[in-house]
Amino acid sequence: MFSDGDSLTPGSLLQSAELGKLEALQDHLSAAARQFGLDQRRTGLLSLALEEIFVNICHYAYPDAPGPVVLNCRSEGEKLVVEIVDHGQAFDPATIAEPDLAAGVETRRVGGLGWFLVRQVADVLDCFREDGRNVVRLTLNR
Amino acid sequence: MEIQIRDSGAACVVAVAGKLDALSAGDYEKAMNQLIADGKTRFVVDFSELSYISSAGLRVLLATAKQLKPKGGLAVFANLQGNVQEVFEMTGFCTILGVYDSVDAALAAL
Repeated sequence: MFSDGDSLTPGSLLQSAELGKLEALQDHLSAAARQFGLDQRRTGLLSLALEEIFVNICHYAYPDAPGPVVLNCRSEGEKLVVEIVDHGQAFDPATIAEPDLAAGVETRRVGGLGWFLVRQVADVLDCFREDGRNVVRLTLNR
Repeated sequence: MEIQIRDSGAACVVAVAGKLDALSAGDYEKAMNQLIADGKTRFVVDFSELSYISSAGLRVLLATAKQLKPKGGLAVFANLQGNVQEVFEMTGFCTILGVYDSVDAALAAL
C-alpha cells in the first residue's frame, strides 16, 4: 500500500474509524515523523492535526458505523507527506467557517477549531475526493 | 489523563496531567461540572504536566468558562508547556482565558 516517493519504514497503517484507535495512529505517525527528522515540536503539532482529521472522519464520514481509515506517510525529498484516507461520506472542508479568534468567552462559539488547527500545522494542505474516497494530504517542509 | 484537585482556600487548584484530547476531554468536563455543582466557582488549572491539547480539549475549556461566567466564577490557567502553549496562542485562547506563569501568580490574580 505504499504510494509514490520514498516510503518511510512505517509506511501505511489501516485502522477502523473508532476514537479508541487514535493513539495507535498517532504512534505510527510520530514514528514516521521522527524517522524523517521532524523536530519534537512539529511532530506534536502533526499528531494534533491527525487527531482533528481522524475525529472528523469518525463523526462525519462514518456517522452510522465505523469504516476504514488509512494513514500513509512518505518522504518526498525534503518534504514529509501524510495522507489520511477514508471511504465515507464526501467531505468538503471549504464549507467550514473560520473561527473568530478575537471573540470573547461569551460570544465565542464552542468548537470549530479543528480544521483551523489542521491548516496551521501543514505547509500545504490538500483535500480532495478520489475514487469514492476522501483524501486529506498534509505536506510539511523539512 | 489524570486530574488532581486541591482546595487552596481562595480557589480550587486542578492539576491536569497527560493529554487532553477527544478521548479524555469528557472526563475533564465531568470533573469540572462536579466541582461547579458542589458550589466551586474559582479555579486555577495547572497544566505543568499537560503535554498535549486538541480542539476537543479547547472545547471543554471554553464550555466551562461559559458556564462559570454567569455565576461570577472564573477558571484561569497556569504553567502551559510547549505545544499546549503554542495551541493556546494559535487559537487566541491566551487572550480570552487568563494565562499565568505559575499557580501562585494565577492565585494572586483571582
